[in-house]
Amino acid sequence: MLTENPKQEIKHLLAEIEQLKTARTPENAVRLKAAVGRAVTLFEQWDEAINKADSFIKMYQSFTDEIHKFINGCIGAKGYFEERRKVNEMVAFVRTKLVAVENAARDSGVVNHLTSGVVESHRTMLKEAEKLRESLGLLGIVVKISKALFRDAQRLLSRQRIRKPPGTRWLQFTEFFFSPKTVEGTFRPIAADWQYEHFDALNKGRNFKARWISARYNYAFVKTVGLNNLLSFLKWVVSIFKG
Amino acid sequence: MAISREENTKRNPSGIPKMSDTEALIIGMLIDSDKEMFGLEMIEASGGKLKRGTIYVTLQRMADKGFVESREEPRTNPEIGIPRRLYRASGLGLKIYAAREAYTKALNNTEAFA
Repeated sequence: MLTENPKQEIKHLLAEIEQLKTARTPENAVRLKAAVGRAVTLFEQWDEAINKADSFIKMYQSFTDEIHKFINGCIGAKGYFEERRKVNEMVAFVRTKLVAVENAARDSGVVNHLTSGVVESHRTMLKEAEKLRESLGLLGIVVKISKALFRDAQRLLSRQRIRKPPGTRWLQFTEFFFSPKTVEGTFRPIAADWQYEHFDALNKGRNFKARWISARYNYAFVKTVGLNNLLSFLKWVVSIFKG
Repeated sequence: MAISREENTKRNPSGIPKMSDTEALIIGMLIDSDKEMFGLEMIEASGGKLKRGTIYVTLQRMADKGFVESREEPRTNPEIGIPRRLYRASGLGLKIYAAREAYTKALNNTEAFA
């Protein structure tokens, strides 16, 4: 295993070797031999560690690429929920990979400071992903509140709007063209039923049913007006033949 | 709303007002319910035989003939909308309906013996 700071140690050893070389005594010769041996071992270990770290970095570079693809996919995703789902997936993915990297680094005996850069970049990425997820969560709340506000505003506006009860225009039309007796006996009851059904549906909060009722009664009015015209025409024809 | 018997006789020289199948259906429903009915109730009770666009034309014609009588629904509290109309069978309507039923029954019996 390498020490905590092998570069520094090698530097110290080299300086020591230089010193020992100047004062040539039997004790120094023994110390010099030991220092050189230690330096060689350190160099070998250092070299081996660098090779291992290189392979690590290459391996995790592919992970990083995958993570970047995820992030790009998230940014390019259409629709909020799709994006949120992808970010959640990405966070889970990065977390798994980070754990794998840390475990691999520990198991392989590679010095932490060599792989720490890779691990650190993964950690940063995870933090960013989590931040993105939080912001998306916040965005979701904002969207929900906005929707609720918009709905309330719409309801408020629809309440504030003054509208004539359904069938009023039809009644005005029939009052102009038909006798008061026909209006009273035929058209007013239709309008009364229309309003009764329409307001009943609105009271129950069934707006679409209220619209459907209006459509049906519009048709009923057209039919009744047509029928009344036909009857009047037939009566007129009969009266002509009777003289 | 109902017209006088003289006027009805003038319109129909035989003196007996005619009752169509739809009119008989309405009178039958009014007799069965044993109470005044709204037009909408009749539509629902007819099971699709009466329509929103035609029922009031028929009821108006029946009122002209004197088969039914109508009044506006009483309202104790102020309510939204036009008051609806309640219909009930008149004495004439009941008589004609009974006669029609008897005639139909007799005709069916005759057909059965023939």
